[in-house]
Amino acid sequence: MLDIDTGEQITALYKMSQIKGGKKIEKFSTTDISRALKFHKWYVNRYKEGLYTEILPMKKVYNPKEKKIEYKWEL
Amino acid sequence: MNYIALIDCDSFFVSCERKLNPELKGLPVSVVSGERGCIISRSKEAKAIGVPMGIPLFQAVEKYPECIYIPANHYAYTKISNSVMNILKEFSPKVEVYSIDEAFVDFTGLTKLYKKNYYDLAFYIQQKILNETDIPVTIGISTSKTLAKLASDKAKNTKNRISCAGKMTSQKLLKRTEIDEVWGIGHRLGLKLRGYGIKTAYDFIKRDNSWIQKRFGKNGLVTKSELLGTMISPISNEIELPKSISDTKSFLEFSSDMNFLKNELSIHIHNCCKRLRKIDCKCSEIGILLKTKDFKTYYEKKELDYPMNFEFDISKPAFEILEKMYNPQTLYRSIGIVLEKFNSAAEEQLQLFNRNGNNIQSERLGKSLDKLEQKFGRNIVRTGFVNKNIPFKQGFLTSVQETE
Repeated sequence: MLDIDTGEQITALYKMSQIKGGKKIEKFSTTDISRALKFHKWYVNRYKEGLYTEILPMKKVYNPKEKKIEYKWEL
Repeated sequence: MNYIALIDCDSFFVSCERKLNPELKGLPVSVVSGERGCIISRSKEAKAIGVPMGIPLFQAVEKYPECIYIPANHYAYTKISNSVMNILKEFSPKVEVYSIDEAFVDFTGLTKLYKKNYYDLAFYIQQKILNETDIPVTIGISTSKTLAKLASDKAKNTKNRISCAGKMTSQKLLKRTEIDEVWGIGHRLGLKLRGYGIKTAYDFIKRDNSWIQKRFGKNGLVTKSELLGTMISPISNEIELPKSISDTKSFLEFSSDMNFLKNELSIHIHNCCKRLRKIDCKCSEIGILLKTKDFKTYYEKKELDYPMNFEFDISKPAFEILEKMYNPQTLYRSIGIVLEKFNSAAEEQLQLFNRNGNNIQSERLGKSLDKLEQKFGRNIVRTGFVNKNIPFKQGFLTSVQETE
């Protein structure tokens, strides 16, 4: 995934979830988009049901208490 | 004669997602407003499958499973939209940004400057936008905004997605255009016009001015003139102050917890204040929007004591309204805030009974928050109400005390 601020290639987490009965159940998550798309294809063929795909970019966050940079997935 | 182009980004939200994740190109993709939301943008492939606009996500995943549903990322879309608009501003001094994915550009005289005809110029702009931002656009050119809009709709069915509506082609175009497809004529007005026997835009322009003015007033006459090719509303690149700013979002789960509602409301207040400070304005009226589980909407307004644009100042009256509207036995699905009645911060009426000291402090703090966000990214410092027992749904990390 591209970073919108810098234009650089950044790691992102692709989370595939099932939406059923007003609930979200996570089915699969990966940092590789092609794996995520393959899983989506397989899941749709297998269960005839769509998935909700969240793309969470990896963000640099400064932790002032620890005084160090941490990485976390953020929507 | 003026020449106006309407530049419209194709399936804008989907195009933005494809720019960020090029692997999605060629796949059926829909952007949804949230996991409780509905479809707000569809790719060409999704349209071919039959995914309709506005359908709730839970229905869409059942009916059209092969489509990929992605939540909207409006922050990214605004940034990409700005880069598209900046390219347009390189070409013409008069660019009116009409919405996040549409802009009117004054092409008058540009043919001499670029030594290209209007079609080639449009093609050149289209390619430049595609190369630099990876966003495909449709361009409609004509002599007025209304005709440019019709030309752009027509261009969507052409090969190069460019359409020029001159004098002769615009007549043919008007004959083929249903009356409610005209810009400024909606469904209800369309029904009224059909009642008078006006089915196409061409039927409308054939009516007398006096007949139109009697029934539809000044706006009817403006629409007729624009359809005839006379530009009535010129392109203005002055940024008009918005009439209101609102921010609202559905919860992940229904809730009747007051602390949770306040927490969510604080997020919306912060987002609105940030936008308000960006246009250097203060608001004098706020409204709180509450939607219950069974889609009943409650809205209450309050006039503020003095104009304000800082989170802590606005949250006090906002929480007062919320407490008044709140019913502990009701489950709520969303909350939002609407800021209205804007005054420019530079022209603010000073208070007789001194509050100026606090105002200056608030302004400084607000500006500092904005600067920090600009430097270190969104949500680096967060303001508002925090209850540590509530899970961070949208993530308020630091409390008010810590922030201060």
